Amino acid sequence: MSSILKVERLSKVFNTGQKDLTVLHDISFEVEEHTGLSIVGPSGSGKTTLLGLCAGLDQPTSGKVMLVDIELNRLSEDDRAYVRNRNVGFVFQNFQLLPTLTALENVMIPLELRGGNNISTTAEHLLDRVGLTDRMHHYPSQLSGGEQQRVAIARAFITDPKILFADEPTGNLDEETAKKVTDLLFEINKEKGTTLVLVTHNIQLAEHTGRILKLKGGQLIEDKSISID
Amino acid sequence: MDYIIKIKREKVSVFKSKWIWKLAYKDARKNFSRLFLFISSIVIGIGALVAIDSFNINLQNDINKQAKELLGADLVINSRGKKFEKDFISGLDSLNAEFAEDARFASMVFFSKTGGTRLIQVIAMEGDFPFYGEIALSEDSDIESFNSKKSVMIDESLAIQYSVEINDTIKLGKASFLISGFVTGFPGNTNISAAFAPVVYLPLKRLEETGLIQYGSRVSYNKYLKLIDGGLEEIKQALNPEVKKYGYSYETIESRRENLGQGFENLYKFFNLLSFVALILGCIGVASSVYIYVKEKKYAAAVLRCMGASGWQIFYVFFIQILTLGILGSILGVIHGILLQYILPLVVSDFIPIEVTPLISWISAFQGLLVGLIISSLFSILPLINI
Ligand SMILES: Nc1ncnc2c1ncn2[C@@H]1O[C@H](COP(=O)(O)OP(=O)(O)O)[C@@H](O)[C@H]1O
Ligand SMILES: [Mg+2]
Repeated sequence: MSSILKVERLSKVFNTGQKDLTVLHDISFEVEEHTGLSIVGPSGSGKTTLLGLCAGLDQPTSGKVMLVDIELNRLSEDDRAYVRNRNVGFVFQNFQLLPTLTALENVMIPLELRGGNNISTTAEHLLDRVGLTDRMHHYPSQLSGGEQQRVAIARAFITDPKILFADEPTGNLDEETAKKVTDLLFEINKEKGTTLVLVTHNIQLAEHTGRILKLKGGQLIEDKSISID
Repeated sequence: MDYIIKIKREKVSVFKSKWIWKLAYKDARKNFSRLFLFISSIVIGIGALVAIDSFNINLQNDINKQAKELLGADLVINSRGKKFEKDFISGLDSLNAEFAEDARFASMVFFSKTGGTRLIQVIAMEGDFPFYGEIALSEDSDIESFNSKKSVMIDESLAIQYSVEINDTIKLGKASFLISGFVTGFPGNTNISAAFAPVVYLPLKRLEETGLIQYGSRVSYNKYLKLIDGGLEEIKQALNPEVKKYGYSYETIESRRENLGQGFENLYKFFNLLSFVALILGCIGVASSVYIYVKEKKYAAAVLRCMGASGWQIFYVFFIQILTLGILGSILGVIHGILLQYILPLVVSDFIPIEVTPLISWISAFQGLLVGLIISSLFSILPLINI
C-alpha cells in the first residue's frame, strides 16, 4: 500500500498584527490510499487549518505536504488548484455552494473546469444518487441545510476524487439530518473507494473511519487506529 | 522516494474555455440588479460625454453654416453716432452690389391702449435686408400695411408682455404708429435679447416723423451690402483706409463666424466641464460598484479556487461579466447621449442665435464607446486581480 497523503513536520504560524499565532506545531502523519482518517479536537485547535494545508489551499510556514506524490508547497497557487481539481473532493461545514447557480450547475462546476462532454448527465446521475432528483433546478436558498449538503456531496464526488476532505460536514445540521447525510457520505465513499479525511466532533463517527488523530492547541496529541468489525 | 514538484497542465485560452463564459453568464443572470449602479453610472457618464461632445461639434458646424444668415449680408458697415458721409456713400454706389440700410437706437415707447411705457430698441430699415436668411413674422402680420401706412412692427415678446394686438397704436417720439405685425425672428437676435431689449421696427423713411434723431443721439447706422459678383477681398482692401478715416467699422461673414466662435468659447468650456464632471461621477460610480461587487464575489471566488479554478479563470469569469455590462452600458449611454442631443438645443435655443441641428456625431459616439470600455476595464481589472 502506498500513502496518498503524507504530512511532514508541518507548522503554520499566522501573523496577527504584532503577535505571531502558532496554529499548527510540527505535525506529521501519513494516510494510506483507500483508508479513512478522522481528525478530532476542540474548536480552535487547528483542524480546518490542517485540512486547508493538506489540500494546498494555503502554504505552511514550515514542513511539507505530499499529496498523490506531489510536493504541494513547491507548486504555484494555480498548479495546486489544478492538482486539487484532478484529485481532491471537498465537503464543508457551511456547504460552500454558489448561491447564483442551481443545484445541478453547482454539481457540474468541478467537471466543467476540466472540460469534457456529458457533464450534466453525470451530474444528474449523482444528484439522483443523493436523492435530489426533484431538486436539480433549485437554487441553494430554496433548499434545506441537509439538501444543500447533499448537493455538496454530489459535487465532491463528481470528479471521482482520490481523496475527500470533509470539514465537520454535519456541523450545521440537526441530529436526524446529520445521520442521513453522514450515512450517504460513507456509502458513496465506500462505493468509490475514496480516501476520506474527516474532521468531526462526533466520536462515534470518527471511530467509523478506522483511525483518529487528536489535535489540541495545534499539536498532534494522539494517533490511534481502531479495528472496524 | 521522489516527489513531483512540477505540474504539466495545458493552458486553454479564455475564448476556447466555454465554461468560463457559461459560468459568467449563469452567475450574472441572478446578479443583474446588483450591477444596476454600475450600468447606470456608465450610462450617465457616457451619455453626458456623447451628448455634450456632439452638441459642441454640431454647434460649431451650425455657426459655420449659419453665420451668413446671422449677418444677413456679405458686408455690413457700421457707423456709430453719425450718419455715413456723402463721399463715402457715393464711393459705395460705384460697387456692383445690392444695398440696404438701417438705423438703430434706444428709445421709449408708449402703448396708447394700456398706457404702459417701455424702453425699446428702434430699428428703422430700408431695402431688402436681410439678403440671407429672413425676418420671421407672426401669421396675422400685414406687410402691405407696414410698407404703405404709417405703421410699425414689434417683437412678439413685447406684444405679449403689453397685451398689444394688431392695429393697436403706439407712440414713438412725436408720432403715433399703427401696429401691423409681430416679429418672431430677426437675424442675429435671440429670444433672450428680445426679452431684454425688445425691438420696434419701422421703415427708415418714417424715422424723421418721430423727431427722435437730433444732434448727439446715440444712433448706430448700418449699411448692408450683397455683392453681385464677389470681389469681397478687393472691396475690403479699398474699404480699409476709408473706414479708418471716418471711424467706421465693418463685419464680413468670415469675421462674424470668428467672433461667434470666440463668443461660444466659454459655452464650450462650460459644457466640457459639465461632461467632465459627469464622467468623473460616472467613474466614481463604476469604481465603487465594481468594488462592492468584487467584494461580494470573494466567497464565490474562494469556492471556485477550492474546486480547482486558476486565478486567471476566476478573474475572467467576473471580468467578462463586468466588461459585457460595460459594453452594454456604453451602448446605452451613447443612445442616451444621442437622444439628449435632441433636448439640449431646445434648452439653449433661447440663449443663442444659432439653430443647432441635432446630428449624430459618429466620432463622439465612437469616442463614448471607447471611453466606456476603458473605464469599465480599468476599474474592474484592479479589484479583480486581488480577488
Ligand atoms: N487566516 C487566519 N489568520 C489568523 N488566524 C487564523 C486564521 N485562520 C485561522 N486562524 C486561527 O487559527 C486557529 C485555528 O483555527 P481552525 O483551524 O479554524 O480551528 P478549528 O477548525 O479546529 O476550529 C484559531 O485560533 C483561529 O483563530
Ligand atoms: Mg474548523
